[in-house]
Amino acid sequence: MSDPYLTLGVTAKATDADIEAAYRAGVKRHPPERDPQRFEALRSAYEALRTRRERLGYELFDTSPPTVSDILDKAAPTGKPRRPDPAQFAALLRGES
Amino acid sequence: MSKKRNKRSAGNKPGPASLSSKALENAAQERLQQGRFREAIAHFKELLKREQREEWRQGLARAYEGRARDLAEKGMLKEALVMWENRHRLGAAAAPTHLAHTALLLRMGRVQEAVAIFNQAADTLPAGELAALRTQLAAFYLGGQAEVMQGLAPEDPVVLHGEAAQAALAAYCRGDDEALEQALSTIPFRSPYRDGVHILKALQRLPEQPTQAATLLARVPAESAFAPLRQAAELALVPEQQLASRLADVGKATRRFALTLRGWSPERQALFEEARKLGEHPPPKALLHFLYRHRDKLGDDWVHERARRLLIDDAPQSLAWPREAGGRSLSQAEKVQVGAWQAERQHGDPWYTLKCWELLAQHLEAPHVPAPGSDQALRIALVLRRVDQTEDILAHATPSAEPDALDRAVAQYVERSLDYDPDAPQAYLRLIGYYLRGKELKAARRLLEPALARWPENLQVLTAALDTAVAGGAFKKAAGFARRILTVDPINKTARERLVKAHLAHARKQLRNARPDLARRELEQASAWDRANRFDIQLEIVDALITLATDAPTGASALREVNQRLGDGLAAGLSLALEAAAVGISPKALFADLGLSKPQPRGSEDLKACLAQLREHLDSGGKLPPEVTRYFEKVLKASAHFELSFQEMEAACETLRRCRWDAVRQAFAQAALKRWKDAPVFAFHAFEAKYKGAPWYASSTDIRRLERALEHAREKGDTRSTERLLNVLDSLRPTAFEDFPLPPEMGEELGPEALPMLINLMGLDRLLDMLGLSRDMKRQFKELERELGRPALIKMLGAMLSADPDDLPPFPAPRPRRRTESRGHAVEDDAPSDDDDPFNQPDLFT
Repeated sequence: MSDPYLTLGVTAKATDADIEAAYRAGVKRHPPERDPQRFEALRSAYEALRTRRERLGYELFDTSPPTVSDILDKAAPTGKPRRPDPAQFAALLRGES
Repeated sequence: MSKKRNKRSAGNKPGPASLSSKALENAAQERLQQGRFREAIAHFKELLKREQREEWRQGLARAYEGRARDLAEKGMLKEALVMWENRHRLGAAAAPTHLAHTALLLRMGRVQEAVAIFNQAADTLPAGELAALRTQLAAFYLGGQAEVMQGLAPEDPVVLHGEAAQAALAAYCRGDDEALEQALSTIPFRSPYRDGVHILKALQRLPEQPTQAATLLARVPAESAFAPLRQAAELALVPEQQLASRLADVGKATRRFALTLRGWSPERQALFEEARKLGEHPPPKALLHFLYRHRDKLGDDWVHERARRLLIDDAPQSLAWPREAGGRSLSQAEKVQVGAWQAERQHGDPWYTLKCWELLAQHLEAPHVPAPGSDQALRIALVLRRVDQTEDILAHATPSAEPDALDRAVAQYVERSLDYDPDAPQAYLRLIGYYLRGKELKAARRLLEPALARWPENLQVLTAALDTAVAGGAFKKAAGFARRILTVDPINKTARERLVKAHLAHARKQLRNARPDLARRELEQASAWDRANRFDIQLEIVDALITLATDAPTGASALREVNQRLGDGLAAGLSLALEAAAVGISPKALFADLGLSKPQPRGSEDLKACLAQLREHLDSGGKLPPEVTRYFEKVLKASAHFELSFQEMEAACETLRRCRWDAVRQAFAQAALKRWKDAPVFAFHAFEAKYKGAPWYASSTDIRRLERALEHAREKGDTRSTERLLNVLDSLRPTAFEDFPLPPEMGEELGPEALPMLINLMGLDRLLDMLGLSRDMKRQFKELERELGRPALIKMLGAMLSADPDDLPPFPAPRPRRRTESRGHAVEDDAPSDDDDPFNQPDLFT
């Protein structure tokens, strides 16, 4: 399982209310009908952290190793989609794969 | 050695020059088919030296093309280009212009040569190929090769639409969608830039309209010069979970393009490129070092926490890794936690895991016991409940008699956890359920009190209280809890029924205590709550029994009337008998007082109703008092011949098994076996009912019948009967005397001198079976008895059992028969085993 804190975009000090707000905002951005996988990830993350008891349980018993995607999300979160520059187009059109 | 031989053999082989033209042509074609292009080139060249034939020139062109492709795939672009050039020199007739050739020229910056080839081929190439070549030139022009335009005619579409395509690309890159659309609108559909137009439109829609973008991208053919752009754009649409594996298959330029579209910053992309070098499944230590290398970006605490999850499999050696990677050392509690994780993941031993978590709890308790409700207290509670949570022990286990059993320890830890986290109703409920299963009512009540105080309206807690009260026979209390449940949840049907049952049970209790007045009051309550009239017969009978206690003639008359109304058969009799026994009246005496004859079955329907009533009684947790058993066993046994279907007969046997009325069950099973010969299910019931508790006494005829039934069950695929029959047959194979329940009067000090008594008691056959002797040995013992008499047999058996094998006459060594179950088949294992060998148990009789 990916780090639920990163999935929801909250810190380890987040309260029940912070987590619920982050979940609701996430679902608004990624509604289940448009992005079911992302929604599923948000749902799992929310269920893992919903209450103080669950957050402590996660801290104590989650043994999943960090994934590369976790590390990337933590170090440099994905931003807004950007448009490649002409040089990037040129590289591909000239046959550099 | 082999190399030399190969060289020699290669040297002996005739070269192309020594072959006839026909043989050489065959060899050349063969090499071409096999993809051995270098040899094919040499052969065709030799052929062309001899004679300039068109088909050989074409063969050489194909060989050059194949070789060029091979070299390009290996990244040897210059060498590949030489091959294309050689092919090109063969002339347009033998080797028409090839797109791969021009693409390679363009890619190597030799634009003018590519354009020249295009111009030469413009009149000869088929329209489709010409269009593809134009698209190639267009793609390279858009990719910044302005030179493309220099050699092309001004009216060529590549030149005509080039400016608009460039403008569109520039507008897209700077985010000017209006200019983009304007530029795109000037490019006609049949332009060589068409694929580029589709891609730009798709990219424009990519973030908000992924489906439309995918449709537009799908219009770009895979062989188009714009296909690399399409591939990169499609990666932007791949779901997050699949991205890593898809990125592994593409080059760096494609990755950069796709990741930019996905919003990855250059920093993230650089980090990803570094992580890729660790492999698809990086080893934990490598990943840990990677984490610590970037801890300035990731944060010390996060790295420390996540890195601990990488230590589990290699602990305890791995516990030093964080320090080695430049991080801080693990605290003692953190090390213990890694140990507990490892125990859960690797050991599979709940005891060991329990001890590991216990150790962590101790560390968390030190140096000060935290206040209940604090985070630390909650951590301790969760740790103490962990094994119950993972193994789900308290939900199913019945308290063991052994105080140091695992379930006891788990229950003790969960109870301890309540000191730290009393706000855990599920922990209370699991414990209460666990103690109730073991009839440990005191423990259940101890937990119930605080739970009720804390959650007075919690339905689960109230139900647990109701269960506890019923288990303790406190029916008044039970009724009170049922009423409280109905206050919270007025439409709770189960609670309503349980309330009726509690009042009924209390009424019976009062009647037993000779308080018909109080019994009547309880009955009225029960009656008031039984709105669905589910218990009307029971209510009516209890009412009549109360009347019987105060006004015998009226009560008796009411009971007779009920009996008549219910059919005056077995089912009616059972209803009366069960209620009478529940208030302490013997069914026999009741029927005698009422002047009724003993209930008799009124047909198969009556029998089925009686059995259904028994099932219902057992389902509701009722017990069958011995006086009811005594009263009904004989009459039910006589009903075994009634005509019931196979399923009804099977259900009857199962019900009688639950009642533990084995004599009746045996009669039913035997009757069924007469109709359905060797039916496995009835063979099982007949045998189990006959030898219940003492299968060792089974006769060999019965055992053979059972084995036959097992075969039938396997043939029919009746897995339930197979399983049951195998269990019974397994129980027939004792491996030592300690498993055999000897009659109590024999006491514990049984020695070889007890053999005569045992032979008399169970017969020689069964004794020899029980000793686990082979068929051969049993035969020899029997012959011995026939020839020399029983004293000699006893002496021989005694010698065998007193342990010294050397004292035995030359019989083959006894080999116990052991039945092991393997993939559902019984296997006769004749291999001797030390544990099973009676000679290895010298004190068997001492």
